[in-house]
Amino acid sequence: MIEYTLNSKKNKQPALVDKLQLSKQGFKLNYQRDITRYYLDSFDNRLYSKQHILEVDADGANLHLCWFQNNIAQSSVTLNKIPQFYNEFPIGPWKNRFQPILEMRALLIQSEIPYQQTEYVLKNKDDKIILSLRFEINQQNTAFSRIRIIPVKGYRKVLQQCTQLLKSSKFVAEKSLIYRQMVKHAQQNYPSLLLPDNFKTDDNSINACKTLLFQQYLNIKHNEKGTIDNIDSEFLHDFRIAIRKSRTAFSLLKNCFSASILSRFKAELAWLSQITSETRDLDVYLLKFPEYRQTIASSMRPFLDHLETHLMMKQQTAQQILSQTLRSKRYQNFCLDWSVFLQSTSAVNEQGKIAQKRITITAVKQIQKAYHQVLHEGRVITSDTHSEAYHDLRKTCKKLRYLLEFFRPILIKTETQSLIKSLKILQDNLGDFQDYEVQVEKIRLFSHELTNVPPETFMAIGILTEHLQAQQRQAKIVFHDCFSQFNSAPNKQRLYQIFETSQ
Amino acid sequence: MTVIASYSIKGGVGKTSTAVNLASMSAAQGYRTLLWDLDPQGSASYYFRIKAKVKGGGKSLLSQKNITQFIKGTDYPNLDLLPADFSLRKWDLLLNKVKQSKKSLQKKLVKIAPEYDYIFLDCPPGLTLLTENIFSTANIILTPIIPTSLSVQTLHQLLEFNKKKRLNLVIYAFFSMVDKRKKMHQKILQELPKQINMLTCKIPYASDIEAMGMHRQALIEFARSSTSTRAYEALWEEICKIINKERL
Repeated sequence: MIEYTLNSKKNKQPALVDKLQLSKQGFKLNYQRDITRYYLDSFDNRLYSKQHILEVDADGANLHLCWFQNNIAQSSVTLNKIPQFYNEFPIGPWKNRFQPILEMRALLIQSEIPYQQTEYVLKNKDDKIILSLRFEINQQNTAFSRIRIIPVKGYRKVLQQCTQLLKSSKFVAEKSLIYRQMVKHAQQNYPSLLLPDNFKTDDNSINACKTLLFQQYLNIKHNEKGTIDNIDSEFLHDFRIAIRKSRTAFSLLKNCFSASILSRFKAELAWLSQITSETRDLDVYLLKFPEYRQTIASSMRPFLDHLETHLMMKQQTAQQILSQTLRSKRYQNFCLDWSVFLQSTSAVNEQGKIAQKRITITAVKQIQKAYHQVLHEGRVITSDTHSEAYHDLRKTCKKLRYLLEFFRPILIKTETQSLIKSLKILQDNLGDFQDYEVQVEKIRLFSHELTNVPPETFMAIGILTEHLQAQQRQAKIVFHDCFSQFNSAPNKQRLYQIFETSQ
Repeated sequence: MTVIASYSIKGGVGKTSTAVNLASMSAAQGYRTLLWDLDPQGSASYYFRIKAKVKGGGKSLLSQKNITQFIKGTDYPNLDLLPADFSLRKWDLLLNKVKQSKKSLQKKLVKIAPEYDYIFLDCPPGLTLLTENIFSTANIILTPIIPTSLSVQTLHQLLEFNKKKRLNLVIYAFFSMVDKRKKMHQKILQELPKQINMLTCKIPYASDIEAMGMHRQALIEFARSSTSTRAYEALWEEICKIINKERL
């Protein structure tokens, strides 16, 4: 496809058609209609960053999706509805094509442009279309108006003639850069997060901690709108991670702060964690639902629909409450006070020995403490140990992980990275173990809430929970391997090197 | 890229209708699809209103490394056609002169593989060197069988040929032009699947399939909700499931 913008002074289409003498050239009117064109991409422009463009044309009766790559039209299909996630694309190559790029990200309407679209076609003597010419006029913003030449493979001569005709007419301007303008417009809604500079090795602990906390505060604010508007579940996920990291960092230097500061912000961060929990849990169950379906026989899968619908309704309610809470005075006051506090210079009560200690010393001490705690908690776990012990170990691992990530700027890079990689293996195993347990419990609770459903629904849920329990048992079996690879001599050596080079 | 050949030793069994309809359904789903009309009769080319002519003829097709220059877009989004040429009736003679003659087709398709998800081959009847090229290229051989004794006989011949030459062809036979009023058809519909693994979908003998030549269009264009269209849709769905399962 070749696209031209119109010379802004002469873009009245009827006049253009006459001036170009299209009927003399053999073109015939194919159709004229009003459409709305939607451009789809994730909020972080995952498609565009890989040279893909998705356009959906809606003419009231039909939806038509067109895929471009490197500005070349690749493929198209008729839709029943605009897909929001990769698994909502119709049957065909679409899901496999876009799942690796989009993953769990929602497709958002980045731009919406109304057009009056008129297509002229050139046919040969076999009544076969050999070239199409489309005029797309936007009355509100003439900069979006354009002419598209849609060539047909193998009919190069007419394409060259048509291109020449348009270029020599002086009615067309440059080749279109419309999509780039729209990406720029969309990026204003969701700009990339620009974090302030990291702390330095010779910073004192209190200032370094405030820098860390301020970075997490910016992450919270960056994901706030997306969370309130429920655009994509990843906003809430990242929002919660920022809160969790804030709580960890805040507890590091709790001795530096006054009792009132400590209790106020500790309580508010815990409150934020609590109010976001239910919505996030429900998001996760809904995201996992395609996986749940795959665990049971295909004949039973439709019976899980009732559970899914129930979860969707609960998620909508929880989301509404969450959105209201994040618009509340309490939340706004917290954000204001927190940002003021984090950007303030050290107050009198932050002059204590601990607060003024060099951050590298504090970091090394905290990491050492967390590392030994992980080893201690992991070593006592046996096959008979209650699941509480696994959960506690998981929390400690998370703390260690955050510490390594917080202080990465001042630690030796390769050793820290290898340690984090090894820790992740253990964390993933513990995460699986706990997640399966929680899912089984919750799904059972949800099933008790279901009414007026066929008995097969409970059978299907029973099969699902059995599968999840089997997965949990499997996670328990491999725990010792995962822990042993972390509790290893190479990791001990890495930690030693981290400490040595940081001092 | 997956290559699907619509092939039978016997003529007039529904090869072209199968290739044309399945290719158009593949394209409608958004798969980038090419239909190569290998039959000098040029019926598939006729359906798509493309002249059955290739510049330089079969000789040129064989000698050129990249066959993209011969491909034409159809009126259907996502669907291209490599038209037939009457000189293809001499392809066997030309292929005989070429080194590694059984792999000629495969070499050409490899070059254009990145551009297409599916390539359908509308094959001429018979068992020739061109057929052997098709056999070495296609991931799936789709064989339409009219439920008559002669048609069944040719299927057995094909399966025997596959076994004897140890070609390991992936052959999927299905019933075509089925007329359930006919006693012979009824009998064979019942008996043959007991002996041979067949696809479950059956394409009926229907006037709208014959009317494709009059409309010069695939069924989904002019008979979207007809029984024949639904039968081909079911056939396409069955084939897609096999392809996904075997990851062809």
